[in-house]
Amino acid sequence: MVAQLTIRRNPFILRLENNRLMGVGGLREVVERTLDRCAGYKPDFMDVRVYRRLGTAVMVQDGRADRAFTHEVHGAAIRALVGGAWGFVALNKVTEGGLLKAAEEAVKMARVALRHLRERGAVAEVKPVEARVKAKVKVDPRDVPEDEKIRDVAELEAAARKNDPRIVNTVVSYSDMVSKETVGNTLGIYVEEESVRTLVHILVVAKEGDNRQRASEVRGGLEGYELVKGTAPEMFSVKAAERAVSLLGAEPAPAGRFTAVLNPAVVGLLSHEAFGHNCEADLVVSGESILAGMMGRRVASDAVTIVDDATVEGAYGSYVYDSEGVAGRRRVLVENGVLKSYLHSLETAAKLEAEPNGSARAYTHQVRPSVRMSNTYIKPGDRSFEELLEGVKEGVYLKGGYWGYVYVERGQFACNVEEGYVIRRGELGEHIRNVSFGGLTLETLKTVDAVGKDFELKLPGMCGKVGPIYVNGGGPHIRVREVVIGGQR
Amino acid sequence: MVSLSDLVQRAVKAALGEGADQADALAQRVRRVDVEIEKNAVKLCTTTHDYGVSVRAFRHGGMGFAYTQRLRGEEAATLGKRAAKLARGVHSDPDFVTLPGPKRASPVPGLYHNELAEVGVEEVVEIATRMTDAAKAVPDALVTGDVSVYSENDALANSLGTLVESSSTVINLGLMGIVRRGGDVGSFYEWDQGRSLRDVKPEAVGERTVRAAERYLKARKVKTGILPVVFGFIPSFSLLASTLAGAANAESVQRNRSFLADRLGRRMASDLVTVTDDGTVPGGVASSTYDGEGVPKRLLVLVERGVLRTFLHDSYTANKAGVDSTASALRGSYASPVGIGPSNLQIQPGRWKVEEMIEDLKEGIYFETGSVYGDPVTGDLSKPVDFGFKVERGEVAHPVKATLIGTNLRLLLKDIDAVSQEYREEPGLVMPAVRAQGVRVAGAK
Repeated sequence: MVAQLTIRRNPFILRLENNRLMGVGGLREVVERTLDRCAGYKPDFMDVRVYRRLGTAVMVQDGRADRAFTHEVHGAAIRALVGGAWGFVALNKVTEGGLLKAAEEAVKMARVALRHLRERGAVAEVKPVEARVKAKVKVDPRDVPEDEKIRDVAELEAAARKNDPRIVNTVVSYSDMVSKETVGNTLGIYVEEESVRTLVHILVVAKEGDNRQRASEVRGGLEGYELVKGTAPEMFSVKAAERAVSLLGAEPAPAGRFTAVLNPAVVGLLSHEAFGHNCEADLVVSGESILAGMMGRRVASDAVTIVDDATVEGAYGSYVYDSEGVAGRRRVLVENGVLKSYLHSLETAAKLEAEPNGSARAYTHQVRPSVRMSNTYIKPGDRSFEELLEGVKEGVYLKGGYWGYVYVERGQFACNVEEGYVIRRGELGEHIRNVSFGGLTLETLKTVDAVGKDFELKLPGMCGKVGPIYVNGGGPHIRVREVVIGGQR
Repeated sequence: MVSLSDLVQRAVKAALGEGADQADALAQRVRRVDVEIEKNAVKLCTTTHDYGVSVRAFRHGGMGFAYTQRLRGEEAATLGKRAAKLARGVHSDPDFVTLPGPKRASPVPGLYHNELAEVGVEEVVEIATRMTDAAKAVPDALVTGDVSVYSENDALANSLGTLVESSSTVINLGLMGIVRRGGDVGSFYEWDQGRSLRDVKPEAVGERTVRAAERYLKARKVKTGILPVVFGFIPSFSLLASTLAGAANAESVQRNRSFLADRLGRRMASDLVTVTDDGTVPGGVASSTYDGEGVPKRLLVLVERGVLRTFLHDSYTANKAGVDSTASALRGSYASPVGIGPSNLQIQPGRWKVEEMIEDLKEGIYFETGSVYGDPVTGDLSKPVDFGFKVERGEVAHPVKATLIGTNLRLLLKDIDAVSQEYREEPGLVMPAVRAQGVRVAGAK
């Protein structure tokens, strides 16, 4: 359901339904006229993207909701492929005259690049599409008064403080973003897509003597304010608070090579960092990815099936059309350990003679579309959690993803996790603190020897490759025979 | 066209008219030219015209923040009102005292160069090409990277009469080099930056990148153990800069989420460590005449022979603590609210030669480049050795792979036993190497 306008209740939040630019006719006519007027430059390809986003945020810290935020992003971008070279221009002024000028500048940029070009750029042929997508939300965040947001977020924060006197800092951040991206190109694509995302995050710090520990929880989705209404304090704030306090008694992690059981959030992080980035076909085309030339070959154990799925209902990384107007879809990257697919933009699909699969995304008009993941996960298997622990003589159970990165040319990755437990003879032992683990993608994934039957997407957040982008990740619990734990003992 | 100064003053006035006790506003106009390199050649040229204005409005200490990418006068006034209405809706904050009043400072020279402000895309392509041509020093190396040039005009005003205008330029070069031979791969990342064309050396970046990438072939795993680690220029700088930005940030300290919270005036590092922060270096990459709230930048001694001398403050945390602002208010752009962070960090060089710091080791790790950051709350540090070597009998033996270090910053910083006399210098930044004993290194069994 699309929520209705309620300007009276919330007069400071602008609406998105006005598509008209400062030109004659609607946005579609303006985009088409801009492309038509540039036909004389004989571009191989050209697209116009108009982006607008409205957002609000509230921060509640240590019992006070004393910070509130709002923003409006509005602009356009033009890409031109001329003689096989690319030009890109972005501007914040969305007028018909401004767009035409930007288009001419993009052609000029491409012509400069053309003089130095070694390898011609190209775009894949796709069928013309015309689509208008409305956001599916139960409660449009624009219809929720600011004081209600403040009250709800403050309640979540208060629940964390009640838990224990050792809790010394609690911060709950809420944000909502309503965006509309319009894409028109010379292949006959015209797509307008509205999306609504909300996210709520809590950080809790506990202290005892010199020892400070922190824990966090996050919930985010391609959904409306119902996400906040559906966030139970005991499953969010109280959980984070209890974990922060519990970590005060945790030991530093051990160091060295271990068998590890990973929880769904860590599996999401591993799928994203260790594998997903290497499947981004722009990094394959540029010769950086270790997966270049590996299609159809074994890259993981046969227990591993990795999927990147832009169509998971309500997931933070989901979308209907990408920033090139190609429909997002479910892409099986690895099936039973064998590499099956890369993630493609129009350009990489042309270069690698593959079908475009709607993976070119841009955060705003100021960033050019590049190949990005959406919701990346390992497909569940048939093992119970107890079965994963069984047979682990000495190992670690790692939970909660914080950060990660990868050097794709070497396939060397790192994942930082919030906490864990030592495993001895199949039993969970002492609690361990925040630690990173790492390894080499093609070695590590071949040592995944058991995959759980549970499943959770548990990592809503931003990936930062060419500018930020909304992603999620997850999977079941899995067991990896060999990872390197960067512990302290 | 309305000037940026007019816009911010109009926004502040509108915020006061809507009930704010105090307000400030920032307007920016940025032009960015970017040339991307793929497979050793130019692939894409881009120009971005970015502009926007933001307002912070305060009412009984509670803050409303709003930004827009429209730069028309009436939009600025609407924005000021929007921020003020938000401020009226939030809780009050009794710790807020006041924004800073107007202060005069002599302009820091060398932050703006016409040659970059007016640079044409052809010139940026030429710089990129000089970099890729130099990378031919290793004929089979593959390079990917970019050259970007920013030119920025800013105006900042607040309701106490502060009005500051500034212009600046920045050039950044970045290059990744990959060498693949017989199923093996070596890679390396290099960069350069500055305020003028003179500051950057594209040929040196090109050649250094590919020569270093070649050195990373034949990487091996190392055994888990406790070893001394020599942190190269960039890892040392990253270690100290991230620690100071994260844990010495007064907001984190006052909120009780910094492992340095009770360290003021006390030892936080070995007495070989002295770090200053000077935002007034002419032409410095992080220099500015005023900070993000209009307070004049000045020289700060952050760590003196291992003792933490000051936290980094903006006006809010300084007033709350009853001290002067260290002029450390940072604004990434009009789109970000004010944060706190250092400007040009300068780590005082020591007596050692890097070669001697390595020669001195029977066994150890030389972490040549990459980032090193710990958790500002707990101080725990667990990080892969991005680009590093195993040291055996005083010599660099082989590059390492799948190797991590694990320690706590409280221990690591105190275990620093050598600082190099050589250092890497980028405009305003001084980055010597440091060595720490007794670091847990995780690798093979």
